[in-house]
Amino acid sequence: MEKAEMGKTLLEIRNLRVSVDGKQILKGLSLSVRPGQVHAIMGPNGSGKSTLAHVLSGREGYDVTGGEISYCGKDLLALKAEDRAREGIFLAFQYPVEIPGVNNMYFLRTAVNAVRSHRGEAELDAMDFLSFAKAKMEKLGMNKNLTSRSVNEGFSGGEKKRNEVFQMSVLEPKLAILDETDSGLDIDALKTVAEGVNALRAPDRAFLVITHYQRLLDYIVPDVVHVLAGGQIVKSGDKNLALELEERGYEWVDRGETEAGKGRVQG
Amino acid sequence: MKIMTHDKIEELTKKEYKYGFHTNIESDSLGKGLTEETIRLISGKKNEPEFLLEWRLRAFEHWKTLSEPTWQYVKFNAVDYQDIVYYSAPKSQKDGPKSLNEVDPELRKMFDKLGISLHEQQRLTGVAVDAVVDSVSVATTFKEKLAEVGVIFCSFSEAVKRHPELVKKYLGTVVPYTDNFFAALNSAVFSDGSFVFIPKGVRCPMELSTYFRINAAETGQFERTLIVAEEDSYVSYLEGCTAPMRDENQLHAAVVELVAMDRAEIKYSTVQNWYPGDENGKGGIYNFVTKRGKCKGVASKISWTQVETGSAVTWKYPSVILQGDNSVGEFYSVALTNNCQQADTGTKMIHLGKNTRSTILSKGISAGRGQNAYRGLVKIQKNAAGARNYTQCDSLLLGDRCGAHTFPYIEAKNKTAQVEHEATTSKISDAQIFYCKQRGISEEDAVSMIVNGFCKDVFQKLPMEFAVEAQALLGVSLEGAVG
Amino acid sequence: MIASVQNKTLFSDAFRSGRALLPGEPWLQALRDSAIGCFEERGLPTRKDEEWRYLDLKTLGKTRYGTPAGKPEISESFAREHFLGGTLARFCFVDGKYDASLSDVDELPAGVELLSVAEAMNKNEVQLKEALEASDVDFRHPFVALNTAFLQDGYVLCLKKDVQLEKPVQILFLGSEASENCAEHSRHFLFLAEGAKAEVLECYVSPKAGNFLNNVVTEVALEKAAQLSLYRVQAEGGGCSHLNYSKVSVGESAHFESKVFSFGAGTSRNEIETELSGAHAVCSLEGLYIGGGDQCLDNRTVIDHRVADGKSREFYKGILGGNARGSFSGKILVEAGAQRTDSEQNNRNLLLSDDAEADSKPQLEIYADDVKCSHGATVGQLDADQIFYLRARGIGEGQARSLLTAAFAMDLVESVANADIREFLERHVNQKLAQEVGR
Repeated sequence: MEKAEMGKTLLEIRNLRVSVDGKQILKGLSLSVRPGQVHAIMGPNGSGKSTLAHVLSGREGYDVTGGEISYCGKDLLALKAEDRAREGIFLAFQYPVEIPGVNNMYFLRTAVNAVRSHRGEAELDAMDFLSFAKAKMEKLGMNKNLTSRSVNEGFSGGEKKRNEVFQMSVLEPKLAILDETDSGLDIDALKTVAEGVNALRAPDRAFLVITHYQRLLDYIVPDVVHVLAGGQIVKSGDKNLALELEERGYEWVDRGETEAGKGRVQG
Repeated sequence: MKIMTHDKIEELTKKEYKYGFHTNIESDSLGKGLTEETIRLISGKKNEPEFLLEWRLRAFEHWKTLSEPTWQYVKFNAVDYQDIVYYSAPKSQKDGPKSLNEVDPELRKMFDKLGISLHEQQRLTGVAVDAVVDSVSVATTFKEKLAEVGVIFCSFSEAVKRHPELVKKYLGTVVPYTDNFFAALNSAVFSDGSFVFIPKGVRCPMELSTYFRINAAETGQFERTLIVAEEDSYVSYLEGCTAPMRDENQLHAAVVELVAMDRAEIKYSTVQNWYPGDENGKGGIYNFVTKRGKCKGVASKISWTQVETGSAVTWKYPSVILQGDNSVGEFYSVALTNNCQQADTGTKMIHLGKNTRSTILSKGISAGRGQNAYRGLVKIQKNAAGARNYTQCDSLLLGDRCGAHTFPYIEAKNKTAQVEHEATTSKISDAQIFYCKQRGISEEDAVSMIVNGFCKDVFQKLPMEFAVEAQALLGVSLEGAVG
Repeated sequence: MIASVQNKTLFSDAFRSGRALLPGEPWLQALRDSAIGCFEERGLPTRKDEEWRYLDLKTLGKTRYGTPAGKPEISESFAREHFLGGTLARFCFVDGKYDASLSDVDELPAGVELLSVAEAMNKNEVQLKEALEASDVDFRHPFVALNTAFLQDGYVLCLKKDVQLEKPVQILFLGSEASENCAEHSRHFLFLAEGAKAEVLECYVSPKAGNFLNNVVTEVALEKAAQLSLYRVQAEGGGCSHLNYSKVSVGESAHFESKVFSFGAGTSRNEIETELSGAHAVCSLEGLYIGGGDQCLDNRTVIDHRVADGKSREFYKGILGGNARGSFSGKILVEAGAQRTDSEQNNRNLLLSDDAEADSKPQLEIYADDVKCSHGATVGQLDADQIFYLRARGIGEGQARSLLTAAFAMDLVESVANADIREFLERHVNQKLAQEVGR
């Protein structure tokens, strides 16, 4: 990668190798994402999709055995999880975690202020934050009662995912990673979540949409689609690749793994 | 996959006690040791009436026949009861302050350090404060305003002088001196405390508050609080405690008695932050306290809320005797043990009257090498038809060197009773920590936030300004604990 | 206290005067002496002892117990009533002594040893000596001390590696009229080697309500991946005092299941101390105590998670009528390092009468942080909504109550896989319920 290009790249993953409990999951994955782009990562179960999301966001328990990740020109792997978040990486969890007794809005304000003080900005007081957050909620058509409840506690599957998108809209990340955000959602909830994400698309923000199924991509239309199989990106293409996958199944790419693995698209 | 390493826990556990200053106030103390003479001296210094001296002496005689309880789940060095100063009063207090302005400036500074400037308290919060330092009440604010509605709020000594008939009528009726070792000791040697009397039909117009502070070295604190709420009255009472850092253990053996008549309600809240000792368990307060309320009247209510973060050893079971039909008892507790702290705390709900109800909610947090035990008794006597109890005990363990224990006792003798006990034990999950970190929140803040969330149901029961203080205190003790 | 001191002398006297008649070689006599010494040091427990808080040793404290004299007489028909069908073997004891005529051990396969302790004293003395000396039951327990001092009989069940019994073994204890004012101290040993599997049903019954003491001590050791289901029906007459103490060690990946049905005896205490000493050990302790009249039924359990990855489940239920008092005291101990322990404990009580009492003392003592432990305890009545629902369907209130009470009790029986045992237990539960609730 040339220096000149670095400026244009938000996220650059090179030959990433990751193992969990001694088992190799990612076997030399490379990916390049520029601001404003939406990349979809598709792949069969166990291909390493969620591992990629967790490694990018700094979850412990993953051993990076090779390769490098540069984010905004920085060595991402050297940053702690909270610092990655403060630098604008947001992970929408596949299974958002319940934190009993901790108020949803209080939690989010703490997060926003942690990010703001990291950037050297003044912290928001409770009133300012509330009006700021309320505006975002209205935009997303969120149920107001989510403000008075504990973080994800007793939320339905749809509410949890919507809450993730709401947090994303409040935290205004540079790189949003959606880890199987469509799993467990009915079609109406899926549409609402997708609308929320689309509303957040911006020239300075990139998305990594991780999904097993093509249907989410009907609503969040990607610029690039990658197929992850056996710990590597084996095929990349435009949105039509997703449709093709839907039709022909993952076996199609699995079979062509070696050959297709060579042709990478840099978006 | 372990989020917190030992090192991390250790690093975070080393948070110092914030209230560990010591104030140079001249004290008027008796020598060490306990004999009949000591008791006569204490009583004499306070110009007590004969009945009280006799009562003290009977308590002392009884105490000599008792030995320390051994059933509790704590270990501590034997207390040498002859090596304790049983009376210590800030010297300038001898004649008692007439107003706040007369309070020793050093003492005032001490309260400022505690963040409870009496002036501020008075001006901003409208909370009436009684402050007890080393066993003696030094200032009671807002006395006049309370007097207008007939509320008596004064030091115990003053109550003995001005309202001996009330003291005589109620003293020892809820916690007799025969109750236990420490209650007997307190009855013999108590030097001061607070007294509250709410007359019929009066809703006390403000929160009443007492701050306790042990200042002098080698001194035991033995205060006694008595609150009587007559028919249809209401009072909310707050109690806060701190002590300086000292290498030796200091004994605090208080007694609190509450009496609620028909339809009266007493809400008693405690934020206990006695010096817990250092990280190796050196020093700290032995907090051996007997607190009990009697719901004497029909439909009366007594509610205990406690946040226990201090003391080297805590031994405390604020209890309610539900004597009046339809009376209600409540116990809400947060107890945190860090470093080498030990707590054996809980409650007793004794249901005597019909349709009596009690609720127990206990949240125990163990960190460092702390040992935290909930011990509770729910007793439904034969005549307590329709009695109900619900108990929930939750324990949170931070680190693998601490302990969390639950010892509930249920004894039901009425077939229409319904008693339910539930307990859980958990730790903060790695997933919760990661979720917070992924939102930019530091590990320390995340733990503090999750622990506060764990305690939320109890904090909600505290008066607003106390809740804020309790949260902050938990934060401080926890920054210590895990981050 | 006085009763205790008195009784201490009563037991000591009985020991001294009967010592010469107690069987065994010098090593056993020495063990007896040491045990009675330990007992004399502490005497009988009183209700001031925390662990004995809910047990009233009433008649036990006042009786001078002798050893059964004369020929025990038990009607064969009474014995037969309690035979379990479909067994692999049946081992019978009358007044604490093995009775070959009522037993049936012909079908036992290779690799299984089932014999009486009296026989072991002769035939397998070395092993018995080893077992007794290696025993980690604690003489500070007064009834364990007495049991050892007076030890005469009991049973030994040993399964060799990978021996899996397809049918249950029944052990039947019959108390005859000759046992009036006598004490029976039985000692049992169950050893299951690696991969072995067995189902055992113990029954304690007596035709009359005479006063006698049944003092049982059991030691169970399960090696790696061994599985034992131990069912106990304790249903002697009202004059009996039944004390039963078991010490169980569960090895790696071994599985111990216990179901205790305490219905009989005026005073009873069923105690099980379980150690999960190997990784992935599992234990399940269940109990049903139903009492009426002046019965006092005490249950105590300890589950000690010594190592990581253990799992325990505990569920005790009480139904109490008349003047009866039932109690449950259960401790779950999770030792330091016993991470990933998964433990649940539950005790539910139903009070049927104005004078009955239920006491519950569930306890958690936890020294490891990565654990899943919970417990619950309730005392209450039948659900009013459920009663109303049944009445609204035309069922009379009395019948509705007995129906729901039976449902409350039968939980524990329904989960028994072996149909013969299930029917046997059902019969006992129904009998006891009919007595106390009326069906």
